[in-house]
Amino acid sequence: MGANRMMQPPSAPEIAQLGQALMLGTRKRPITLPPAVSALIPATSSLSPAMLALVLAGQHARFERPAAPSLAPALESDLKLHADPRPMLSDASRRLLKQLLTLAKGDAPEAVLTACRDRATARGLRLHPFDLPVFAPYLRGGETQAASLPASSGADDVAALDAESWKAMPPQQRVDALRRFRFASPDAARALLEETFRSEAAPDRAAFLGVMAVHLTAADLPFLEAAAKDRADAARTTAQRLAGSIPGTDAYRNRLSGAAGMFITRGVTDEAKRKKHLSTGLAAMKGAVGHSAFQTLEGLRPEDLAGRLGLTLDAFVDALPIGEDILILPLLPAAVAEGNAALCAALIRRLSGLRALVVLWSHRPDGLDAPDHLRPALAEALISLAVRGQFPDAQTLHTFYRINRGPLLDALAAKLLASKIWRTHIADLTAPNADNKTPNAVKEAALLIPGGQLDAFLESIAALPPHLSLPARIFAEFCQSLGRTSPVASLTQSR
Amino acid sequence: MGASLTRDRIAALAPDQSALTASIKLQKPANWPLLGRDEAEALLWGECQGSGATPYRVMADLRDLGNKCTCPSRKFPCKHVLALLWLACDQLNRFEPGEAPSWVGDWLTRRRPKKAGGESEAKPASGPGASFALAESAATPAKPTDPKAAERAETQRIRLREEREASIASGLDELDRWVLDRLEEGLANVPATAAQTCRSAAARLIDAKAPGLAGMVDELAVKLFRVPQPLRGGYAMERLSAMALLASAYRNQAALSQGLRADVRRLIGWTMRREELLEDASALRVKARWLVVSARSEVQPDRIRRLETWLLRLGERDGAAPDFALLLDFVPLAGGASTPPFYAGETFEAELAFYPSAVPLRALIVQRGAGDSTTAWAAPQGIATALDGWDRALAHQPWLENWPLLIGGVRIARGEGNALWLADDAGGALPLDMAKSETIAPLIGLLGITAAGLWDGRCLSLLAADTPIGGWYGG
Repeated sequence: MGANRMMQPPSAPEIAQLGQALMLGTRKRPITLPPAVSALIPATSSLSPAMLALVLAGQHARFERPAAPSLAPALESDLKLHADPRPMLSDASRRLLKQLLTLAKGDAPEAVLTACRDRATARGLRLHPFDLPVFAPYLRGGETQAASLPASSGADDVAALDAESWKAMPPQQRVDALRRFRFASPDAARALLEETFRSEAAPDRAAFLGVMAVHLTAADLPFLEAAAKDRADAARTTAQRLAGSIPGTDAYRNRLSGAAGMFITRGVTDEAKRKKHLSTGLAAMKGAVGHSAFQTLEGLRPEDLAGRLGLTLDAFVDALPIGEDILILPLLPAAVAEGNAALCAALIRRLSGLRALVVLWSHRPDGLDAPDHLRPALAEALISLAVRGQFPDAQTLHTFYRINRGPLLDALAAKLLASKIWRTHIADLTAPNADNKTPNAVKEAALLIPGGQLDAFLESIAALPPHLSLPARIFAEFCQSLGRTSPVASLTQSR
Repeated sequence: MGASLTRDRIAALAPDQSALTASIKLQKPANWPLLGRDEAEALLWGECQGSGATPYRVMADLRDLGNKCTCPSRKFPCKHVLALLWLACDQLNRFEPGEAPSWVGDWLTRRRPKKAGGESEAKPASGPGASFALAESAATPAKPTDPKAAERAETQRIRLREEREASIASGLDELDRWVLDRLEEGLANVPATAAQTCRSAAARLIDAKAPGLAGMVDELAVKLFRVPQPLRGGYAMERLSAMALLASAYRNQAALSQGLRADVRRLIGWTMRREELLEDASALRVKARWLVVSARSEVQPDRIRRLETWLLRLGERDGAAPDFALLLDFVPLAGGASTPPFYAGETFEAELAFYPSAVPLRALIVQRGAGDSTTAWAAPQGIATALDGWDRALAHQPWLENWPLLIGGVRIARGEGNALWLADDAGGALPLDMAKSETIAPLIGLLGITAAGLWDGRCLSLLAADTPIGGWYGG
């Protein structure tokens, strides 16, 4: 009997027949156990034939193996993730990044996570592909692609920029590349944009047109006039604004007259220094009037405005009333677009404080998008402005970080950390009756600190309790881990 | 003392994000008029000033992260406990070393029963089951010391057991009749009527004190609808087959091996208390390095949260010890921990005690050592080898719903309809759970992967993978 069981197990067709009968129902098709199955049943079994058939067929089915599918080769988009030759973050860095996300969830983690991504990119590293599904929703600028693909190599690559290579970049990198190209070669950059303009998405058209503010000349007028008839409102408005900002055109001259009319020259009141003092009476005005004043002045070259008022550029800047940001801010983008570092610094010195950046950002987020060579000078002027006032709030620091597009240079960060306002701020936060509602100011400050100053930064916040300093500390530890832990080699490196 | 206390572990303990965020804001010194620690006993305590006049008393046992707070929060652990742990992790110097106050001692006595000599006996670290198992033991009435009372209690216990056995036997007979009714109608019709018939059959099994089997029947309706329509009849056949076989096995349990009998009784609804397992000298114990491949939670239909931690044994696979272990805990939905106190990728030395089974899998941590860095996983190569393991397990324990597989030398590939498959060079392939396709996608294009996943006979739910660019943990 035992030997029979081993030698004659029920065949697959027999079990399949039982299964079919069970599907139809024993009322319609009574179960007849095949002999091979009957031989398996112990004499003591109390199970009915239908139950036996169910157990046998059901258990048999559990041992079936899945049929081999026809598998497709991996898609190009799948392989791209692993084609990036840059090494990936170490496990230690990944853990810190996850801790930051855990802490920052519900508190706008985009800024700090994007900063982490950018620090890694600056060190030639990339986020680990396994982390991208988690982090990509929080990363600004190109999201997953920017996080995984090699970043644009900087100013050197724009000489070779053509329509094909430019279009292949993620959106934010395209704006940056076009701006660098425009600084280097204004006509070629315009020609590149003209070539692809009609095929671009509406939001991108407005962003690309904004780049034309750099080295704007009459040669750009035909293109801008054509773009001023664009279907998209944002693109149309940008083109019209820029067309009215081209020196030498009638529109520009008219705007210049209107703008000059805003100023009240209060004569030579300071005889000893032979300075003129300008006023507009706009200082106390806000809202719609402020916005209108901004529109009146923006895009006008400071030297043209100075000439219209019968002043040299230096005298004009000196005559601008200190703290009347509504007059000074609209002139800054033009100074940046000209790449005039001294003029930028002079204008920034006359701002009421670093908080003015937030006002500028609200009107023209790209207004201080400076080329790489100009950014340190801008940052220096802004830090000098910051350290002579109150410690900036989180929003201001965040705006500064975005304008600076990364951490400060070592010397500037050292200046900030050694400043009285930083030390006072930390002391205020550790005071027993401290206002603990603004912990983000420390976190935002951390984003501005370069690798070389992280130890000093950590030391300066050592006295802060964790609830005020933890995200900043983890961010700093993350940045330090980039240099101290071994990254994971990319497949393309290890192959 | 807090060597094993890491930010990751604290974050994993938090019941939700808001508790974690709130705990960070609670860390300013003014909130904590008292912070203390006892190195030898691995204890932390503190008083946290809440909105009331009396500070909350917060305490934690670092051996297993057991904790208690006197606040009224229904979250577990509450923000005060999390804040205490954060502080210990980041600013241990703020804790005054010394002897624990009496209120900590009282709590400790309840959770670490005294030895005969009066010394507090440390409960073994218990992993995710800690809080629930300890609550269960605390709720168990103390054994009476009076011999007559003990005899009465034993008689009562035997009587209750016999009554339950009789009730279960009658419930199994009813189940048989219910299954035969389904067979008469035809299994192809089961999906259409399952919602109604399964519910009433499950209710009768609950009355018959067979809650495990009742759950099996009750779940059938829901599970059927997770299976593609053409396969539902076949799935119904498999599940009804398992139920019928279980009923038959229970009636014949005397003929079964000890492990299989334990499986059968557990599946019917008998439970084994944690203490019983720890006292069972014959229980399989394995001391090894373990890697947490998955730490996940799931809310069951009975509003109980099931916390699962899947562990992979690192080192050589000699077949002498299970490759995987499952730490399982059940906590109430309201106020209980929402995730296991482990995080995927964590590695530690530990001795595990396995619940008796024909295929030991569920376990408790008896003793836990320090964590260390992960090494590459040793794994058998190829899908066919892994499926042979599934076949063996199924042959030993036919009611397995899923089984952990460890498969070396595989890759992730796309199939028809963009479905994802785990494939090897020998032509073997297993369909992957598409619910995780977004997180699995970055694995495509990598070769030589070692994968750990749960196989249910139809679909592999990928838990973790060891790849040329590091560990992947998917839940």
